[in-house]
Amino acid sequence: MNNFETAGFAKPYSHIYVEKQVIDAPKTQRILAKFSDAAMIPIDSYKQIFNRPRQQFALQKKSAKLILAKKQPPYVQPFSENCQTTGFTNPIYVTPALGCVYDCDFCFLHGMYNSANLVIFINAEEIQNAVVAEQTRRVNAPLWVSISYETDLLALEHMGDLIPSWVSLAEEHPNLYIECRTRSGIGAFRRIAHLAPPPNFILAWSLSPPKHAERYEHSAPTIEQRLRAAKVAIDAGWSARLCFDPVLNLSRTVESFEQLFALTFSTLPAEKLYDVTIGPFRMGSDFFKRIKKARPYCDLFYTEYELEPEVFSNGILKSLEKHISRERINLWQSQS
Amino acid sequence: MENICTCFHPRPFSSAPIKGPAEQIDIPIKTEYRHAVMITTSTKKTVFVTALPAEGKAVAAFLQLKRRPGGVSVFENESFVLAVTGVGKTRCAAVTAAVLSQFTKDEIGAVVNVGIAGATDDAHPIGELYLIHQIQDAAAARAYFPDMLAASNLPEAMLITFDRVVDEFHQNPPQDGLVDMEAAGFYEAAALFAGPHQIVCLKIVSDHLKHVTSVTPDHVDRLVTEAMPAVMQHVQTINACIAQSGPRELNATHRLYLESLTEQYRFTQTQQSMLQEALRRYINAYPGLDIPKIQLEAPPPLTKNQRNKFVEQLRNSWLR
Repeated sequence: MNNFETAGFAKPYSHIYVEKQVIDAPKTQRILAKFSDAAMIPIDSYKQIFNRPRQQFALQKKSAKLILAKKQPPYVQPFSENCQTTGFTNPIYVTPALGCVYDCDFCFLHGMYNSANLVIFINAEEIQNAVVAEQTRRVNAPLWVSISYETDLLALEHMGDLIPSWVSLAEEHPNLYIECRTRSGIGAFRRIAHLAPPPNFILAWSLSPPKHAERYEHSAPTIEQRLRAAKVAIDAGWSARLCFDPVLNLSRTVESFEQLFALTFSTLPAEKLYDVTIGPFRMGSDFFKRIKKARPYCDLFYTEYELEPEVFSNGILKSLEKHISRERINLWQSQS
Repeated sequence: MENICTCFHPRPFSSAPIKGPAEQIDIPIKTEYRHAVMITTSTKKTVFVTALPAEGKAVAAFLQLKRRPGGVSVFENESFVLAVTGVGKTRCAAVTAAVLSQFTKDEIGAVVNVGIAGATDDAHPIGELYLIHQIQDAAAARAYFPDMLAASNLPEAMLITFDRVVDEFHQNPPQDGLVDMEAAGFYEAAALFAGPHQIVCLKIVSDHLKHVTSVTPDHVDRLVTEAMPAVMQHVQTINACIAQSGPRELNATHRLYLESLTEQYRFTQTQQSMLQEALRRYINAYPGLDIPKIQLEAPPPLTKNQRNKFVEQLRNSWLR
């Protein structure tokens, strides 16, 4: 049972909680100006709101609040073993924001966080300095940085110019490869379309078969909308990656993905893509248990969710290889 | 009016000493305001907490609550429970915890602190009902934040809980918001049993920290009584939101059914857990539908293999 009714709930972002130390920051003020009807509540730390016990994730999704805060060190983190390294050594991720505007049943954030509220850290410059320092430490070897790891940063762009400074950073540091993963559509992309795209800033769209997206990716743009956004971005010279991830183990999965690949590559020529990634549904067992308990209506957590390796390799992967060469496909493989 | 308590427990903002235990009051039934809002019932209990007897009297009268026998001042009916705690955050916390501990988490709906408060300035008019979005504990330098999930037209305010009376002679009067002597204790205790989406604090301005002796029991009764329609409207919106929250849990009928199967077929502990999980999945995926039941051809007792097969069939029918 999915109940996405919002009658009786306050409108989203009716309240904005702001850490006292950042209230006067120009970026804070710019974001607050976009929510002039919202009540602004000063707080000491974002954790006073975000980390409260016994929060109801599903309820908060219906009336999410925004929290503006200052990120404290450590600013950079190594990838978890559930992430694809895509050929880079020791990639890192940063969290300029926490939480997502979308509500995908399979998202690890539901298992990771108590809260469905959104946190935006307004000190992106300090996070970026830490990224540059990390690259310097690695003697300027190519460094892969995911900036949309525990959020969908592009989908939050309407709240306050979160992407441009990262695009500038990529431009200034050609050996820095910055990935911004998203499920957003054309509306979100248009907010950054005016920027000059450096080749090492990669917009990465997550794609699922339309039926899977409709069933499990609540409130996210349709696959057609995401493909359209990717096409406009590619035509404007942006580097675009496609992420067929997670591949869910459902009935007729192979056929569903065959249809998705056909739709995708008829819209987006493979040679114009930065690359593609593909990986089966996987999740840490603690997160899995928490989501299963919180979302018992969702069948994903009650069926055999691991794809037979045979089905994945000989069915889905082979189907993808008909559209793009194997060398340009990044495949997630278990580290264990 | 009958059975009205003759002892009055002065509000925190007055300089008069606190007299007598809160449980000395009896609640008269007043009906004139009751029908201003349609009160709907819920399967969960809405728990009200007030400090003063006069506040409790108004709430109990509005909701037609009956006094529960026993030491602590508790009033109730099928849908609502009211605890009258007495003045001060420690008493408020203790009584709030005592009352909430009588329920399982699935039985608790909104947990509401309603009462009067002083206001630091004239911008908060006397008689105005405020929805509190932040409660500060002045002594402990802690802050508490109820979720603001329900749509509301009520004005909002911050509230500071003091350990002592705040009046015009207070050494460090707060510059903004409302003041009381209980809310921080209420929140801290309530948060042990309920989530921030369930905890609500609603305060009616009774004074501006001056001439606090004018805050009489009758005045308090009138302020709270007049605010109750708006209080109930907000509480019912919250309860409607809560009703949409979280997964459905197995009820007594479900548990009885599982127990009878277990007794009949001697399921192992693991099998019981598997079936419990599958049934929980079914009632959440198909709310309102009857639970599929499988008829066995062979009567119990079953062989181990037959039993395993039966469990698998039952589980699959609930996980479909």
